[in-house]
Amino acid sequence: MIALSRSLVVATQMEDLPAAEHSPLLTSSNGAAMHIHSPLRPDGTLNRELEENGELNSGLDVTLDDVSVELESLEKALKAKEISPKQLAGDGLLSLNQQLVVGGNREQLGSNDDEFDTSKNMAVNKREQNDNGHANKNIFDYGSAEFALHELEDKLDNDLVHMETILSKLKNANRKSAKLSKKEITTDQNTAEELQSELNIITEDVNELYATISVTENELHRALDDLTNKEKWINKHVLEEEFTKLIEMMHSDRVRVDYETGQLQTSMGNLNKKEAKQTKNGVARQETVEEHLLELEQNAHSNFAHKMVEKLLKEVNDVKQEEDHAFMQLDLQLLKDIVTLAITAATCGMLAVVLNLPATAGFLAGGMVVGPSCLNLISSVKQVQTLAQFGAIFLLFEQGLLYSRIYSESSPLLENTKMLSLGRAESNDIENIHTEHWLLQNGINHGPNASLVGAVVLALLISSAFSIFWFIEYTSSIEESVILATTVSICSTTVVRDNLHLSNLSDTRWGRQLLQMIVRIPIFQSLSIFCDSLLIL
Amino acid sequence: MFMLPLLALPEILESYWLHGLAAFEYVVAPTMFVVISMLISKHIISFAVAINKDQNDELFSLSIVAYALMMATIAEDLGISIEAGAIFAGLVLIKSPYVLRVANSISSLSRVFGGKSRCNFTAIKKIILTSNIYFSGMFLTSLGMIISPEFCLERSFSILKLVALVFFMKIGIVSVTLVRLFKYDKRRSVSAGLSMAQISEAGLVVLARASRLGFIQRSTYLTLVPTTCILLALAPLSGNHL
Repeated sequence: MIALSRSLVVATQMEDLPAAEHSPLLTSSNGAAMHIHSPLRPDGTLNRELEENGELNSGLDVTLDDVSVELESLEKALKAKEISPKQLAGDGLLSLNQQLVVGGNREQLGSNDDEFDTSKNMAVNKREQNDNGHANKNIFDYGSAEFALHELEDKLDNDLVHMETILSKLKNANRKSAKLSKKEITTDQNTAEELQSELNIITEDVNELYATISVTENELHRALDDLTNKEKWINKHVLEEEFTKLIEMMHSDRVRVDYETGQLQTSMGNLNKKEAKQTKNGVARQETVEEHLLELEQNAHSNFAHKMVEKLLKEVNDVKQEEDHAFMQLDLQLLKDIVTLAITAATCGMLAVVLNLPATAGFLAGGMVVGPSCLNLISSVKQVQTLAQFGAIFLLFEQGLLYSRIYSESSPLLENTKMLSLGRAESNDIENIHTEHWLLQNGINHGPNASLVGAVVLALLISSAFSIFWFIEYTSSIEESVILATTVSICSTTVVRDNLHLSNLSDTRWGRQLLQMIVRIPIFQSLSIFCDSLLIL
Repeated sequence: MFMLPLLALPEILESYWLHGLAAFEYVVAPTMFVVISMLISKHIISFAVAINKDQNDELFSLSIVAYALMMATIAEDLGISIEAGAIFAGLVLIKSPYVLRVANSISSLSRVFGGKSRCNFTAIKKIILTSNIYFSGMFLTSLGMIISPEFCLERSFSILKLVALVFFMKIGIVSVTLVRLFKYDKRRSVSAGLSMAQISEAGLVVLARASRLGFIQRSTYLTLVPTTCILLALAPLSGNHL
């Protein structure tokens, strides 16, 4: 049998090569595919027996020999294919790289679908290129992927045609062998049977090949779907990017509203990097944001894009209202926050007073409840607290006025009368001044000097506080305890004054002296802090 | 008068110590500020008074507000704190004969924002009748916003300890020194101690600054703020019993 087949090799080479060249099984430039050829070509020795047998045998035997090799390669290819579809089906979008790898494997294995693989790889590569390109560009080469698919389909059809030709040849060979068996009964019948079974196997294999081809086609379709999905995603992404860029621009100072037309304009006059470069190089031009939006709307094809553009339009309108200097602006949130703060302060103060507690406690408790660490009712905390800093400024300004007032009250009589005549005071204060005036007339500063008392008291307070803080090791460093001691020993002048006022002590000499003493305390305290700082330095 | 620049010095020295910058700037800036403020204030106030001869109160108070805010922002720009600037703005008016008028014009504003605690029960009745201090305490309320109630509850023991410590320390020391050294009678000394037994809200500002500059540990700052608030809140109570 083998001798027979080998003897026919030359003839087959003559006959079948043209067909084989077209066949995907044999023509592939791959090394594995070359391996299929290899048993054919080196065995180019002429056998005369074969010549005697004539041309009829040649087709059959060659095909048999061919087929056995082909079968092996087919099996290999099929094994390769059995693995690949499963992997691909499982992984969806992420399968891109795997496809690459599998494709590479297939190439190595020498599968029949080399062309598939290469074209597929081409498609994958294209896709990757497109993905990479999308990072920079907005344009997606949709057509190229489709084109690749079409190409693939064409090749598939070609392959199928080739398969059919091979099959027909095989059948021919079969027929020839049948004729042969009729003509020469002496030849081994077993060979015919073997041939038959091998042919059956071949047809099965070809069917399997069809199946695998269809599988690969499905894969390709899936890949295309992935591609389109990815394209959509990228489009979305790009749109979102543009959207956020525009919003950022609008919130930065680069966008302003033209006073006359009321249209939004970008001060840089650009929205893209290219344009930025252009403006850097050339003349800065003004481009309205609306124009850009219109462009976007025209370019928007999907629902998503439309939604985005609508959102953007809304945002643009908001920014337009914000940036338009032709109208009065109102931060509604801040207003609401201030109102909340005022209401809580008022209600909590009232509640505290009703409960016979000081209103200050109510204010503080209300602030605690409303504040960010508890109920978090106030959103723009920074702005509100800035506003409250006005309170601190006025409070301290008043305190400074108070110092100077008390200072001038203790100074000669003339100034007091002058102040009384010039200052337009409320009745309460006028009464106060009257009494103070009277007090001043009836003798100033009996007893020890207020400054001296204040200084001594403060010095003692600070030193004792310092020693306490230091010895119970409440603080970690000397500076810390110094600062703590000094801050702890200050007392609020306004509070003391109010206390004295409430307890009707402020009119007495004692009350005045106390107040003077306390008023001087911060001054001494600053002095002491100054000394401390010097020590620390 | 010559002591006034010292008020700003803690801030300056702290920043000097922290940043290691030239002390020159920090000596020059406050002195510059003081000189400028003294020059400006005299002219501004006299100008405002001259303009408002027909007792136009709104304009006068508005100009006073503008003056105070301007001084505060100038001080901030020169590297001194806003608060120091505001105190200066008031202190510079010592020699001015219009102090009382200025104080009256600003009092309503500082009542709205600052929230002075001028309330015992009869006073509140008066207030409700006249209904002019409903919006008081903006400052104190936003001060309360810094405090976290959870933290206060967690550390309530140490906070109360600190409150008691400061309270009794102040009363004790003030009354004892007044009695022993200056021979005041006991009742008055104790009442003086009671009235002085709180921490000033200016102390809070100093504390915040110091902790932001890293002089005080965060935990101590966090415990001291509620302590100060409690003492401030208790002050009128102790005042009622004078």
